[in-house]
Amino acid sequence: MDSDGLELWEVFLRSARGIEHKHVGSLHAANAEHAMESARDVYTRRQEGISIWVVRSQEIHASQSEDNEMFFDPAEDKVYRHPTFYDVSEKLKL
Amino acid sequence: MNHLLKYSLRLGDNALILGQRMSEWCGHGPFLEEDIAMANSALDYIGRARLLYTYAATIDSVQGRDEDFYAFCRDESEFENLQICELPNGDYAFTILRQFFFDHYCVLVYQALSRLDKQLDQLPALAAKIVKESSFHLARSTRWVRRLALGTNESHQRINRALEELWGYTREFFNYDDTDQSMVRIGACPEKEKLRSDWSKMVEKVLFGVSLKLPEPNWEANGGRQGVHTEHMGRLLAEMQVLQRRYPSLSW
Repeated sequence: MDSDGLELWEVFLRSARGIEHKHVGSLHAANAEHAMESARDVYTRRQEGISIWVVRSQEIHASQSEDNEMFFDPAEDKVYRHPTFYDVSEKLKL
Repeated sequence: MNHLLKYSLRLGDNALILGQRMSEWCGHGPFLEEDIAMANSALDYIGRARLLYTYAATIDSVQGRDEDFYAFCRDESEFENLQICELPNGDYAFTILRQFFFDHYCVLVYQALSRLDKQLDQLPALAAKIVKESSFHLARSTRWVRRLALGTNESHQRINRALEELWGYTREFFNYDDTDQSMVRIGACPEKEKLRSDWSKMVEKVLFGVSLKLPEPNWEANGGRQGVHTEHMGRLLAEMQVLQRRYPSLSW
């Protein structure tokens, strides 16, 4: 028996004080139930989380690094997209 | 030795000896995730032994005993674990099926213990903690039994072979002596027939659900509670105790 035939799963944890799940790593498992069980043993042994999500790695569609220029570079000179770019009128009561 | 002390030590012995066997898988598991999961469970069992031994030391009339004394300074005949705990690991099907049988036994035994009046003693609180752990162990081993039984021809054959080998050892669960009976009387241990029927019902449900048949019961293990063990026990203890025997009172 080895990990052949098992699928790769990504594991996300929400910590006791966290508000969102964060990616913590991956593991091999036969199905969702198995992935959940292994995630508990592999990633929460030291009370790292109080909620677990597991997702099949193949269900995650990732952006490709060769697209980085067209995806991300155009945002470089768009400072007006940050709220701090705008002066707030003094008359405006916040 | 009073019955409560004897009973606590037996629970501790079961946990330590099985935990020692399980820990032999560390670094040898079938794949990384399973290796970690098995080592985790092994540590749960050893942690449980520590709790029970530490508790036993508080009610032992001999002063100055502690968890290390019970684990490392007693001889084979003083260990009263069930024989199923000491059997060598065999293949992974054997290991998993033993966990499945034993986890279920633990859930039932510790559930009964946890229902004792907590005002009287700290033991019920320990038991309640152990029930939580055991429930996870049982869910895990149950899924593995299903996976192996429904997996490939080979995995099915292996779990079937493990069933033949282990079944007689599970009969020892229900072989009560005076100590168990006295614990039944104070409500700290399930009645024998209740344990047998609850355990069998659940085990049969899982096994029948994956087309495994119960072996013909033609023999029963017996003697663990009286300190009579299989030929495998001596070697296990030799390995586990060697350091403390060679260098008495050695500490880290």
